[in-house]
Amino acid sequence: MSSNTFMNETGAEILKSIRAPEFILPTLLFPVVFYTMFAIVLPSTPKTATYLLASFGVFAAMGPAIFGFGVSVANERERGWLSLKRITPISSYTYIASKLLATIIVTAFSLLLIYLIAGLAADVSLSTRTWYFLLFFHLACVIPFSFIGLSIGFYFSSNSAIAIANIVFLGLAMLGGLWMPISIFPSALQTFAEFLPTFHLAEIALITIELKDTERLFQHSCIIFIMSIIFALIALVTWSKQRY
Amino acid sequence: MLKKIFMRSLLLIILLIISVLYILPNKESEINKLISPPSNSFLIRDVRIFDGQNFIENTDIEISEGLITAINSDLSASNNINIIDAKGKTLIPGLIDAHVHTYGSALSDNLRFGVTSSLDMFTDVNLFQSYKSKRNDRQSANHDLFSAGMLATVEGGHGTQYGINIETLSAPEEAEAWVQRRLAEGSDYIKLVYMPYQDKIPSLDKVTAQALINAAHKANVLAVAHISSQQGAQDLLDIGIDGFVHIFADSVAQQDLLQQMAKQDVFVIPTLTVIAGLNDKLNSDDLLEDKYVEPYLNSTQKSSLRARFDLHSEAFDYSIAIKNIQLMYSAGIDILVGTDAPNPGTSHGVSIHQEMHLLKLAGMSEADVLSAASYLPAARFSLIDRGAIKPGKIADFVLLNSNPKNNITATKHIDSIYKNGFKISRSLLSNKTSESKLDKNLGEFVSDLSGPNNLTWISSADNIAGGQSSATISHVYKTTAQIDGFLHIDATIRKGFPYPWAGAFLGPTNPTLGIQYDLSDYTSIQFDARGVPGNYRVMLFNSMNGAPPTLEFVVKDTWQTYTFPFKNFNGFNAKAFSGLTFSTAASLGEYSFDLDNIVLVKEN
Amino acid sequence: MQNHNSNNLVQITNLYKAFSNKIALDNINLTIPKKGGIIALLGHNGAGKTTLINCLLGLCRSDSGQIEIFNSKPSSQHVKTRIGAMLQDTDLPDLLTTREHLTLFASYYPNSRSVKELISSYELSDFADKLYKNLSGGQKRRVQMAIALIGKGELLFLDEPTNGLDSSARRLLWTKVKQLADKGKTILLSTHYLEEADALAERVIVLHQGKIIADAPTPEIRKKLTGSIIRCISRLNHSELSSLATVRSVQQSGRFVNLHCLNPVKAMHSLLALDPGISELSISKPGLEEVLENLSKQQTVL
Repeated sequence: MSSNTFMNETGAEILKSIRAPEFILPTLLFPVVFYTMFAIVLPSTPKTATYLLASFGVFAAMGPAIFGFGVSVANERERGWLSLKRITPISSYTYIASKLLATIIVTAFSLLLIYLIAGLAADVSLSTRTWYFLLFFHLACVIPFSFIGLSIGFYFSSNSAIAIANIVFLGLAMLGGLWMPISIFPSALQTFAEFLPTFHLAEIALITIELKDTERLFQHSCIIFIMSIIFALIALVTWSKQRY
Repeated sequence: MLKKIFMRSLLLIILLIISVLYILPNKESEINKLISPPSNSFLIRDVRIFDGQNFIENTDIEISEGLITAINSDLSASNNINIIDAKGKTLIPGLIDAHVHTYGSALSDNLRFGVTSSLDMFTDVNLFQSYKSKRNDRQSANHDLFSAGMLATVEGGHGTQYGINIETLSAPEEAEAWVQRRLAEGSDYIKLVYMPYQDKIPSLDKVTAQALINAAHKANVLAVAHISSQQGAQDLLDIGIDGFVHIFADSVAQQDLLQQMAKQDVFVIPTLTVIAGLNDKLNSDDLLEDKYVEPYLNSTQKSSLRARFDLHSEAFDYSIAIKNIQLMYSAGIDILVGTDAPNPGTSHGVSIHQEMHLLKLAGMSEADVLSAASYLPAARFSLIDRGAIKPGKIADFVLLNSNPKNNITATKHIDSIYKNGFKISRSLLSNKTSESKLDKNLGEFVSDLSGPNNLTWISSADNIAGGQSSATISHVYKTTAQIDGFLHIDATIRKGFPYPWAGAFLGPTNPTLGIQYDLSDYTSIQFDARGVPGNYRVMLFNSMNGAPPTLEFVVKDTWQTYTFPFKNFNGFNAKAFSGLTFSTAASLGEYSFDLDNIVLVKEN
Repeated sequence: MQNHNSNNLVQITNLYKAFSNKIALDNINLTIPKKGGIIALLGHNGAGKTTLINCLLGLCRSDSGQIEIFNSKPSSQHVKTRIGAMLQDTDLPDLLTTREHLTLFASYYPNSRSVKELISSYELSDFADKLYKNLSGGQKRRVQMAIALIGKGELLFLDEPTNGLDSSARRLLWTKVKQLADKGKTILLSTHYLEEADALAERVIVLHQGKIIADAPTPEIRKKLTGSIIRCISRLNHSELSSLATVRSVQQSGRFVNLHCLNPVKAMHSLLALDPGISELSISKPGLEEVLENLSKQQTVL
């Protein structure tokens, strides 16, 4: 039953995503348009285009995760759909896992689009192995952002969730250095970035494509791991509060 | 239904991932393009062969997995093997240059002109080691490099002026351990510099030279020598030298010496091209305007061919050199082809054709010249499996469109070149990295000392070449807000080097890369500077050899903007920029200066 | 004191539940024996009907007391495969079609009904491939009803299934509910429409302010609800009104009085005899309001 349920549930999540233009357009096309603007329209070299590819990939993974989980969970919870699921024999984790996989699949589309632009229009060249590593890493970024989205979805009403998700999304992107390197920020903001998952994920992505030294790799990975666990715990707490 | 949606999406995205990542540009594919066809098994029909010693007319040759397996007329071809019809063409062994100094793109430059192996007489040890391991790889088309590694000389002696770190000798007792260290580093033979009987620069003495030769022989490796006089040659002959890497040209060789050389079977690598260059007798246009040569020259090679020594050496008289070659040739002494590339007027690969031509003009027969560039060096330096076209040898050879039997310049009429049986691409496109465009911002110093592309700013002083001057550089923010910074240099000039320098250098992170950039989109270099008032220098590099084109400027204690057109840098080739140095021009003392906004500009 | 009867579908003992400072369920004791049929849970909005159903479904945790369904705790896996529910104020995601919704929920159960069969037998085929957001209110309710049935549950909970529907949609739903009961399902249906309880249920449980104030077969409840309501403006006082013929209760409502009488003709006669000057007269059947008033009074008397 469980794999059958899982596949059906994931199929439903994919359908819901692709039928919602208000989800598809901003979360999938936003990063693509931004990347095109920063890496192609504005003057840049293949090196800056490669640099931006690392961070915009993280940006692309963040949109569907934060909006998909934040806004749609809030909405589906408010409609009582989640309660209806809870009285059926399936585990609630099936819903979360399916949403995660569906988000990863949808994110993969937007990442491939960015990669294509980077490779064909901005002359970014990586070894095949590195392309795969980078894609794998960018897709894995969906996981911590999903926990953030889940916390928003379980805590806020669907109307406030949209606003909160937008603030979190733009804030994390900008202050974490996904649009421009934090080295051009004032030092206070640079210090602040160290507390944001986006900064560490972008750094790991840069290490993956060998634009940053591996020196801090372990540190970034540990921080991301701990942050993910914290977000997961917050999501769990907000979730259990919603149940009773 | 929903399951189908899921399965289809999953399948679609996996297929998309595979196909998108397949079409995305990847770095490995550019390397793979170098070699075509990918197979190193084939048959050449109806070809004339010079096997290293003799010509064989109209025969077939079979190559299997990079090795020559059979030479006979009417060889039968096994199925699905590639057959090359070479009627009227001549196959000669892959050429061996017996005197080079490896640097930059030397290996691919060599391959492009049919030089499949080379005997290096002094290079950076790390560079050599990185290539040496590839020598036995028969499944790729690498040029095979053999090297002496570090050379044996004394402090301040010949060889120490190039900026490569050298462990000099000061007493004969050090010789044995010195040789052992070279062999441990991977040196294939020992090269020593023996230049007594002149008072310009110091040299090894005879006792130390003897100790070095003995140590080399004890370890079963050759000892070869750089000499500059007949008397020096005589000294080394007496103590058992195996070969000379230049011909002496201070005086006509005496009969006793010639007989002794013949008796001891000592070989000579004349390097006539370099001696012609020293005597203003070198005509580079032969190569630069040759339609068989010019299309395969990259800009580094061209500028190196155009370059000239700015000194004359009375020790190397060209007509005496020719005379000595004739005397040695008739005395039956082995003469090997070596270019001493990349000295001014020479370049890797291409110059071997000129050296062969000069040896022919000096009186050697075509067959002997060809042999001197293949069979002989392989035999003398024990390059097993190389230098000959015979069954069992490696399939390193050059297919010529003309017959060199009666015309040595035919070696330039290359149809194709094979290394380990792989056809070498002669296209310059595969060398794209060595001539790419450079970002115009050479130094913004916003948050660090990184330069454009893969270049970086490092400190540079004559202490790397044995001098005493030193420099440290650092990145300093202009304000506490740390928004933008500049490059700060502390330099100390001390006695101990003929032309002292201390400052900052912009170049590749790994200097052995020797990447060159085309700056022809720009006309000038512009920068801001301030510092301890005085004279400072900016130097532009085309290659790391010789003195770079330099301009001086006056620095004040406040920021000033300076703009210098490239044309004011005497001899600078904007198409082959490889580095940039800022240095103090003062003679002695401590200085500090700051640089910022170093950019390339285009002015009308 | 627990009467552990393994034949009961549902057994609630001394159930108590409060939200912050409001008591939602106050000492509920309820048994549904193993038997098909429709049981109505009747009460005002806010009487505790939804809380009670949610507790039975395991969506809500009680403060004290015990609930057993099929002799297990609510929300145990064993229970989930044997029940179905239509929750109040629930909406499904807009961007899936009827068929997709049913397919998805069908995959949740080990032994579900065929989606195809459900679509034809519940007459959903007209909008089977329409997105949920494009359905009418009645159509949406029928999809939710189909979802409640898809797991072949023996015990169904329908929380205010007809709330907000027009009368034709409501009647259609009633037919469907009756058919289910005929097939042997046990249905617990909550409503605030007296007539709905009356029309469908064999047993009515009346919930008022968190308490069960009546739990009896429908005819008994109906008996308590006979008579009429006379509403008018009269100069008579409370005791005079109470003494009128067949009047069971008197309620002052602003300028009006509501007289609950068993025989409106007799009552009118005696009223007009004492006060010929009445005005704004109207006579109606008693509603939930009166029933509750009536029942709660009886209970306190009891």
